[in-house]
Amino acid sequence: MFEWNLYLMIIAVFGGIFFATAVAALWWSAKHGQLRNFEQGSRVIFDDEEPEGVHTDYFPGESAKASDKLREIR
Amino acid sequence: MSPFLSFFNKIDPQVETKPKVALSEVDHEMRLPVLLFTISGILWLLIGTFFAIVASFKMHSPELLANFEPLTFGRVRSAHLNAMTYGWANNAVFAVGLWIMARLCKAHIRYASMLIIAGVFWNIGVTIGIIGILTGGLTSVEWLEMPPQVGPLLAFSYVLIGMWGILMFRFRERGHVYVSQWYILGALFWFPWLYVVAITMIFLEPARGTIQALTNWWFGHNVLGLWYTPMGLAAIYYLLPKVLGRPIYSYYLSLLGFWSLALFYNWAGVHHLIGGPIPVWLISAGIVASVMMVIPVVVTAINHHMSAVGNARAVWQSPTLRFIVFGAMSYTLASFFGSWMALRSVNVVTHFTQFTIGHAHHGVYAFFTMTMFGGIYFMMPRILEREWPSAMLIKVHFWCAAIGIGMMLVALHVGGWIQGMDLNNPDIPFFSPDSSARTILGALKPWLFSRSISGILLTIAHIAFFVNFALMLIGPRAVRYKEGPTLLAAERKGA
Amino acid sequence: MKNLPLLFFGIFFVLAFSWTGLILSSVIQYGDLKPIAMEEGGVPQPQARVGVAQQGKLVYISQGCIYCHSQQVRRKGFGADWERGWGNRQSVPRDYILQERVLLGTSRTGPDLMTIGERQPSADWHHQHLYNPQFTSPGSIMPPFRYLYRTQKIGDAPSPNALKIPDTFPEEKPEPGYEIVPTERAEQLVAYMLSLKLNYELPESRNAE
Repeated sequence: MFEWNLYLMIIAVFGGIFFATAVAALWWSAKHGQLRNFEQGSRVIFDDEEPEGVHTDYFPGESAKASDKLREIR
Repeated sequence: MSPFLSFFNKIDPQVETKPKVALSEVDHEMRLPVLLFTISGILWLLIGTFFAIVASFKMHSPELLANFEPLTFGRVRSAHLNAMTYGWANNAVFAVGLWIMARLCKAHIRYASMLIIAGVFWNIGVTIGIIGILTGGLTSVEWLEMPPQVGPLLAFSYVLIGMWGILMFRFRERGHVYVSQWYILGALFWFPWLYVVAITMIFLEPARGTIQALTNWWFGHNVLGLWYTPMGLAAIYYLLPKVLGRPIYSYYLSLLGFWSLALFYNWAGVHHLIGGPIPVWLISAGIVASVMMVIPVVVTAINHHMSAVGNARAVWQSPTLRFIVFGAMSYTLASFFGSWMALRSVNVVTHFTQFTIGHAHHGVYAFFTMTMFGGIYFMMPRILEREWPSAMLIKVHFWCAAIGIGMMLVALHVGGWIQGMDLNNPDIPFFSPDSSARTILGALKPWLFSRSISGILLTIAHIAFFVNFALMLIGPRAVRYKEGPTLLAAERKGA
Repeated sequence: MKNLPLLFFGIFFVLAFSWTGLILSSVIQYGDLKPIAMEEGGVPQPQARVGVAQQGKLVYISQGCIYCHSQQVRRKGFGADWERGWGNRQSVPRDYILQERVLLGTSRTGPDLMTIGERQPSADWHHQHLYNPQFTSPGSIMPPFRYLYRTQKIGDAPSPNALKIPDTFPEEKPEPGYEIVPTERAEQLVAYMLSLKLNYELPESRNAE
């Protein structure tokens, strides 16, 4: 059917535009340093109150006991 | 840079020297809205559980409450779905998601009153909606059963919440945008769009014929895929490394996971219409997208696994992580099942059966709800500066929920598969006067019954959760600082 | 990632993409389907449902029947829809174009209802079945809809539409001198059931065979 081909073409065009945008976006982000120091970003969740390297959740009343246990294992 | 791009760049705060905002300050300033959302969420959870139990028992004992019209099966199961979705799940998302957003933005909270207003109106809207369902305003459009008249109220509250989220983001401390923030921002954009389009194309200006069904499932599936899933994943990406005290395994993978999820998930909904009266190419596109979902799922699973591996004991000793890790594992499994179910040869069996119901609970309960439980366990001590009163109740909650949902999934998947095989065999009737004959419903009933049993376990879990939460809220001051809120204990001892 | 155009565009694009692909393209492709007659001068099909049957659809919607009953016939060989006698042709998009609310359904705890008006043309059967499914369908898990019926004192003569309760269910019989009659809603719902038919052909309805 002719109509079907027409729709497929339209979809192909839209898909092409979409793909081109994605590539352009990736290129842009690489060029503008968006991806530099990337893995460093995963550390932003920690701060002085809840620093990296510290477990921050235990069953109530068990934190002392539990953190001792965890230290033994280390 | 083009003006177009610089418009968006403005949303990134320019260099300013502001005093650093501590996490505990954020927690403190978020107290009221978070409490409002959490309390209403938990109340909805109980209401939804009640409806669920009624609906579940009615399926194998149809005479139960049969002469009371508001609780007829079609209405009570819809009331269950909507109370859980718009009541519990959305309130939980608003509480946990916005709190994580606020914490990651590391800025003072502005316009908290927006959230309060939105929260009040949202819950009024949902209440009216549920009453509407029970009294005959049921729309019979899956995931949108509430009478369309409440749509504007919900949309209004939602817009306030979404705007708040974006404002929060706008005024964040300059620096990196964490992966959880992408997920939350994405979800905050996606949900209102989905909701407004669905309401418009189904109720206000109904689309022609089965385009409604397409819109319905584009919405229904995306509520899960582009609203609950990103919010759940945001919580996992934040809390897993947070509690373990070490960063996520690979930040690259999380980026890949985000974009592939965003790209594939929103095409997948069509698989609810496989075999139905819509153009075949759409169905094929839906199947392809469903299968492609393997990519984000594997990526996310590897990332979560590698972050938690070697820390089994720490996971076990943290109530938050018990739930979160359960949720993360369920996400992987549920997604694989989802991709598999989208294959035509599998779908011809599972479509129209309890298998689908099981799969929905796999995603919304075993993954999403468990994750939100974990989030609330982490969040509340910090918000209230109080410990959870009872470790025992947390354990009851965890075990009953884990065993209950496990049992339900087995019952519905196995029962649903048998039901599907029977449906495809025209020699097996739905029912038969001869009680020894093999019938579809006869074979299904025991599984429906075990689903009800699992529902009782889940009810116990939710009551334990509710009691613990209520005690925490109104309990004697002695609970406060018995050992200090979980976070402060760790800090004070310098562990 | 520090600057955000990429993030915002991406977030916007992905949903716009699927909305365009799935919904907008469908609107373009078959949003203006019209009823069509198979031969010159014939009655264009499908026809709009009107009157009592249409009111019955609202009852069907407000009772949530859709959660156990679908309304779609799949093509032969995909599932057992044909073998179970639910239709002798698959349902196609054009069948639904005049419905302001499409009730395809995603669950078959009970049988499909696309052609129930042809399979079960007896109004009495439907009333009995709705009042208590066990009358007609022992072993069914469908809930009874007794509240769509009312018990009334028999007047000069028994009402013609009074429910015939099978003798095997003595506990369901009304007291002597009383009868059970359908309310308006029950009549509407049954009229809707009887109107559910797939007894016409469309140009594309045999394409999959």
